[in-house]
Amino acid sequence: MDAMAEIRQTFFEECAEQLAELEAGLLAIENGEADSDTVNAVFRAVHSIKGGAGAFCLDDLVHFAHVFETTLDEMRSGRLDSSEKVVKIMLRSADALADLVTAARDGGTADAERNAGLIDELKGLVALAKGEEPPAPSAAATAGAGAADGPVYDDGMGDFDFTPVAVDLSDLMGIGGDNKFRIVFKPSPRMYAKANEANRVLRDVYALGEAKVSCNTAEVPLLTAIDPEGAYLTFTIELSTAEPEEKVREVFEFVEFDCDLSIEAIDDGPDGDIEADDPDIAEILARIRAEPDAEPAPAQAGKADEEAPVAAKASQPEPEPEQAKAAPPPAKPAAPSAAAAAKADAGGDGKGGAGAGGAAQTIRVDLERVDRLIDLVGELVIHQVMLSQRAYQAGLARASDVAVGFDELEQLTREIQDSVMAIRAQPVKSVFQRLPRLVREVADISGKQVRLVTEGEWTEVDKTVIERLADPLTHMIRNAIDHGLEKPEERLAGGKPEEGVVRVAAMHRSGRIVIEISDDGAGINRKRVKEIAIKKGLVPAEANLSDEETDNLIFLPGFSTADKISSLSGRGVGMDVVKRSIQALGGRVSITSRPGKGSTFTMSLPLTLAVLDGMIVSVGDQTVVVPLTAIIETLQPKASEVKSFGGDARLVQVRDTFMPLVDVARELGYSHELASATGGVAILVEAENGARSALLVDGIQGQRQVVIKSLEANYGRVPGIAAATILGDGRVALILDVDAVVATSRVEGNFFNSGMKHAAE
Amino acid sequence: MKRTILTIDDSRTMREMLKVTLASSGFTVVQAEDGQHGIEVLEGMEIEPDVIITDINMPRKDGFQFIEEVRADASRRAIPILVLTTESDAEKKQRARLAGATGWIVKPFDPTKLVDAINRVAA
Repeated sequence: MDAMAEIRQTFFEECAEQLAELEAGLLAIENGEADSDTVNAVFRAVHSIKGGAGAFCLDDLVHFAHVFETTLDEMRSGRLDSSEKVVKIMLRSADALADLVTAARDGGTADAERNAGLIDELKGLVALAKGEEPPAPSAAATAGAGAADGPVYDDGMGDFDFTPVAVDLSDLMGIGGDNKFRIVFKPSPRMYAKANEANRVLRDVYALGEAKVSCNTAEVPLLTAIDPEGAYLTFTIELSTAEPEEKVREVFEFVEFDCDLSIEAIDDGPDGDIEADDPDIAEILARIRAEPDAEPAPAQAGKADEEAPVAAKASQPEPEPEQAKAAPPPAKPAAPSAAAAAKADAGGDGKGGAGAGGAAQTIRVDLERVDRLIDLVGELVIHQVMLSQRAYQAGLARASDVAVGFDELEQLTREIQDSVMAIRAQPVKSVFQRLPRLVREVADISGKQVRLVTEGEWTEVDKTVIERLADPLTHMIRNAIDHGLEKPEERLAGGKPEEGVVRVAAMHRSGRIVIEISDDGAGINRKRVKEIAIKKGLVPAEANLSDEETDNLIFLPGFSTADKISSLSGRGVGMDVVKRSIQALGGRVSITSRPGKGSTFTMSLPLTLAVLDGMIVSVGDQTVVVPLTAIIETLQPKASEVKSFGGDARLVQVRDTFMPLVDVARELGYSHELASATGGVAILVEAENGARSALLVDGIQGQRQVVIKSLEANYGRVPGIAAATILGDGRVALILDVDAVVATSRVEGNFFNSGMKHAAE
Repeated sequence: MKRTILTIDDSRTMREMLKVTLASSGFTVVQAEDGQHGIEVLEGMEIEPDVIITDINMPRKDGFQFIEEVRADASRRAIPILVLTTESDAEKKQRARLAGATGWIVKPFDPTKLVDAINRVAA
């Protein structure tokens, strides 16, 4: 059942999309921005989930979705106002639905008690909308019917609503019974226009019992006056069956509005009379019984003139299937097929082409294929640069046509690279969409009133960044509500509105994406933060810290301001973990805070993890790339600024502060000698804990965007090295893991006194 | 000859499920994602489908509108159209009938019954 497993996966993917649509729609409704399209989309989302869930026998999900859908239908039809109360219930229902989907996917259980409560609330809304009776029991019954055990497909719920017609009459001919009916059935042209067939209906009747059919052909006009799409026959059926009348009516269910129909129960029909009335029909029936596959029409074809139209008519509404039969098509006009063919042709040049173009607005592509494309484009860029460099080295004149061609080629490859990168870019909306729910939950648990404002949700960023953005963002929002915002009564006392505001805004800024999470809460309690930091030994008691430095203490490992471990922000994860995970993405995070006014966390991330802006530096005889994001400034140390102490450890003075000078060549094992500080360049970098260090390298070659090639995936993990890249001239260069290099140098310098290095010497 | 079924459903899950079910029963399956797309696909088909199976609740053009538009073309009145939807109330059924639907199947469907139904209306 591989196919089923795949469909199941598709279903859950689709559910995620529908849930996002549902929530976005409900929020739009809540903000009064909804039109009928929004309401329809919301309805369809739940409806689709229900449809798919039914196919997989996810009964809880079907049941809940059904009740939800019914309520939404009331809103859609305008009977239920989208008041705040109603939308709140629906938002909570959307959350519950999401939980049910998750439970169905991962095999967990959803909160049955809450769901039952919500179902009652939803039903209450329906009752309210209808202005009367209690919740419709049919709703529960319909959904409950799906609960039958059995294989995935066997639902016991779905069925043909009109009884389909069988081909083999001999199998189908039912046995007579005590109930006798006289049915007069006169199809109208409308019935044939819907691809329904009188003969199929009649065969359905046969299936119910013993039927005797007479056909009144009196209305059939002369051949010249016949409308080929008209309907001229009236059938009278004497049926003897064990089935009740409703079963008989069911046969006509789909045609009953497109025919004249009367069904009356008769006590004891004079059976023989019918055949006597119309011996031809009796003969036809006899043939039908004898030859299951034969149509009544061909059998009749050779008969008297007045019956010929009958044959024509029988074939008329159903030209295609007729061809499939062994029997020769009786005088069937080729017109419909020809017309269809002509139409198909026309569609081919005109509408069809336009249609195909118009419909395909998005395509779904395997991420692997995009990654492969990005890889290849990266190679293309490298080869393009190599080619032109070699051409110039071989003496190509800068002003030559070929050189102009190289310039154009370079521009083109850059554009291709940008376009390919853009394929992976997605709006941060997919992450932002999850936030309203998070805020609702956290607000509920913490007893605070919170309004979430999101901005810039269409800001685009690479998919891999988006995926890894969710966790830190979630944590920071929890933190903002739990620690940042005050309780309603405190807010009121402080002259603020009861409802706190958490604002999440995304924007592009100098080639990076910046996300700000701000709250209008109390701000950082600097006194407390400092006390804790001192108590935990994170800073010396006498330290003189600026406000900004104090605020940033919360990012230090092991720091937690909450007196008691909150079920929300706690979870054993501090802001240091948040900071580290953002840094792992090549990002930074900082906080600004104003007492009484609130705090703002700002995180900035690269737009993509596939390329990186780097500074190309020489280290020994190697070329190394230092990520530009880590670099604060570069300088050439003077001898007077470098202080040595304790072995190899050195400090460099930058203006009025000292920071460790890290010899990159030694850290990476390229050189055993301690490099001369004055002969090189010091690159000031900021490590994960905010501490600054100076990396000593031999020289700077330049600055450029490089394509990141994972070292781990292709070779193995190398301490101090984040990844590799290929430079324009084809050389491989390693990308420095700044944090690791700085950290290692400290550990060795401080604790092991460079034991490893001494051994090497 | 393999018979061709045009399926119209805005749910990817349903489309795949129909495709798997129908393809394994020997039908050729042509898919469309909503009523509007269905019309476009139909216009582009060289040979008319033997049966059309359509959902009702769809964006852009719903199943009712789709059926009406198909039936408005006299040469397409002979194509059996089965409505496949989770809707089961009488009013919707009546609307589908009025639009020109040949039959009605409620989701979720039993594959055997679905195939039976197709075989019968397309016979």
